[in-house]
Amino acid sequence: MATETTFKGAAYPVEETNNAKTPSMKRNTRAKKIVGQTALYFFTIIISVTFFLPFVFMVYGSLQATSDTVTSWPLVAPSFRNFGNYVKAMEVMDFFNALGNTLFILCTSTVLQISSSVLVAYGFARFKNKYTEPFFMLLLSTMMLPWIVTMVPSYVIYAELGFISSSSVFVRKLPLILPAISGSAFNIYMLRNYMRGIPQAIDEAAEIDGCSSFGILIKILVPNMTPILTTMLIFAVTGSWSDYVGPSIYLNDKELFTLALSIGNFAGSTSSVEKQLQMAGCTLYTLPLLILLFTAQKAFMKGIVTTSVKG
Amino acid sequence: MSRERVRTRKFFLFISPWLIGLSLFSLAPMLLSLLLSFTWGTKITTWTSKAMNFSFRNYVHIFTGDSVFLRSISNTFIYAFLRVVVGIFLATMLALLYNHELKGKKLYRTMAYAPSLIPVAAASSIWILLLKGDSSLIQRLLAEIGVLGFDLFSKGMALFTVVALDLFCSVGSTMIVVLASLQSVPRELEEAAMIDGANAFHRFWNITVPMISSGLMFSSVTGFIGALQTYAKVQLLTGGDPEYATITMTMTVLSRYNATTGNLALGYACAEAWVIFTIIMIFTVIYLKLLDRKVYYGD
Repeated sequence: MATETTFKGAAYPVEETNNAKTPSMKRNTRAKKIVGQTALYFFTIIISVTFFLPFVFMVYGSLQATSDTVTSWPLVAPSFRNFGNYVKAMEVMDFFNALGNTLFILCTSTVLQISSSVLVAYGFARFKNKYTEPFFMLLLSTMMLPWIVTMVPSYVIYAELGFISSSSVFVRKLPLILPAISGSAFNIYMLRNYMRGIPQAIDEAAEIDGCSSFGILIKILVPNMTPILTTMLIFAVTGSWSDYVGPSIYLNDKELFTLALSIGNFAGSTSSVEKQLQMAGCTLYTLPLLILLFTAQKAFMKGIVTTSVKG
Repeated sequence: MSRERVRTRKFFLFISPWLIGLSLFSLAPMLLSLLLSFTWGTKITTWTSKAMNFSFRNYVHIFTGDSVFLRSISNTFIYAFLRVVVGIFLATMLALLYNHELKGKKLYRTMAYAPSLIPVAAASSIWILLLKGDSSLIQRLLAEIGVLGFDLFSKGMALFTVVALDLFCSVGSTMIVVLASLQSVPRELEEAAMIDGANAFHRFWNITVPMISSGLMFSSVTGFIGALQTYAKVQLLTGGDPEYATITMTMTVLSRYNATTGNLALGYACAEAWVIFTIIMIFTVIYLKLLDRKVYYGD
């Protein structure tokens, strides 16, 4: 179905301009076109709405009066009178503490990761020498590295160094922050390519004017890279906000829980928390990402394409 | 100092965060893990006492006595294969639909992409309430219309359900990638084929598919490598149940750590991780080689 309609939609005037057509034939094709358009809108909207159903169910469930009605059939109309579910959910999941932990890890690791990536990419893009090529190959090959190989021994190292049993809340979060210092191999790769697109003559002119290498990076290159940096920022933020694996390994104390952990803990298959509260919690956790998506639609759409071109 | 040496010094200065991070957080743990994989150690301290008792028995046991791990390998490959093949097929079909000039097309695309943003912890809770267990919405619905005994998370179905739910969330983002490459197909090519009398299917198969193959390849490679390492989605949804029907490779490794007792079969977990590493590397290389021949890169 889809393939057929595509090429009708993208039809070129070939057939229509081709020789003479009787008026009735013209009417016929116009009628066909209208039917085709309607069908297109119909299918596109139905499918788009289907993709949106998990969100609808989440909000629907969060506004139910009792746990049982969340999953009952026939459906029960949700009501804003049950808005108190959100307040209760916040209490049950210790929302503000989890939010604080999430934001702390998110901000520190994102800032660290992106600034490191920029510095390293600058080294690769602008200071070519005989070591550049082999180190760049090393960088590319680390993109393929499965996380599982380093996960177990890293945990053991942190445990032996006392990070995991430390009494300081800050130190116990460090295993999730410190690795960001190496930047992201993929971001380095993208930034390096981007920097190479900026003419080196600009750097040289600034250098003659007495600008240091670091100054060139900060004053000339970085301001020219805002689009790609925005994309990276968005993906780093959504990635850290949603990360479940890392926190589930290192943060095994309720007081340290991120939002992902407290949701994973209080919703899910073994949970005894009332379902409407589970859904309220999930809504609170998901909504910021959805708002981010709709406010930064363009950056997202561009970012998906560029980040899929890992080579 | 010569200009060349200054450049080299600055190069190392700027890449030092990465070099330090790589050695501390990737290479050192990898080396340690390789050493540990030949030992029977449970914690690093016990490793120092019985230090040099190296042997291959972990690896031997993985392939001869560990049916769960072998099961996880086959599960993971079924999962990854279906996810990539069905995912690309669906994404292409969707992209052809979404490629039309409709009013509000940006909104539709964003809506299709939206599920991939649901954090895994929230997504699994939603799916569980909707689909899993006797009190889920779907079971209530089925009971209402008189269908009993149908379970999406039964032994035979669970793995496919997990793939389907993953696809539901991820297909929108693959579609955006396919859309971008669809838009890069030159119109003249299609026009020429049209004049030559090629029908819609032939134009699609012989022009569009080869032209978008590079976009498809990248998303399939990254999708495949990613899918081989799936952990959180499946862990939260099924925990590997029922009877290891949905356990994946990474899940078996992390299951060696018992959170309640703090016990960790360290050497064995490392050996499993290295087996996974080897499998992933082999398949990445084969996959890239195979696809490399058939793909058009725009030159």
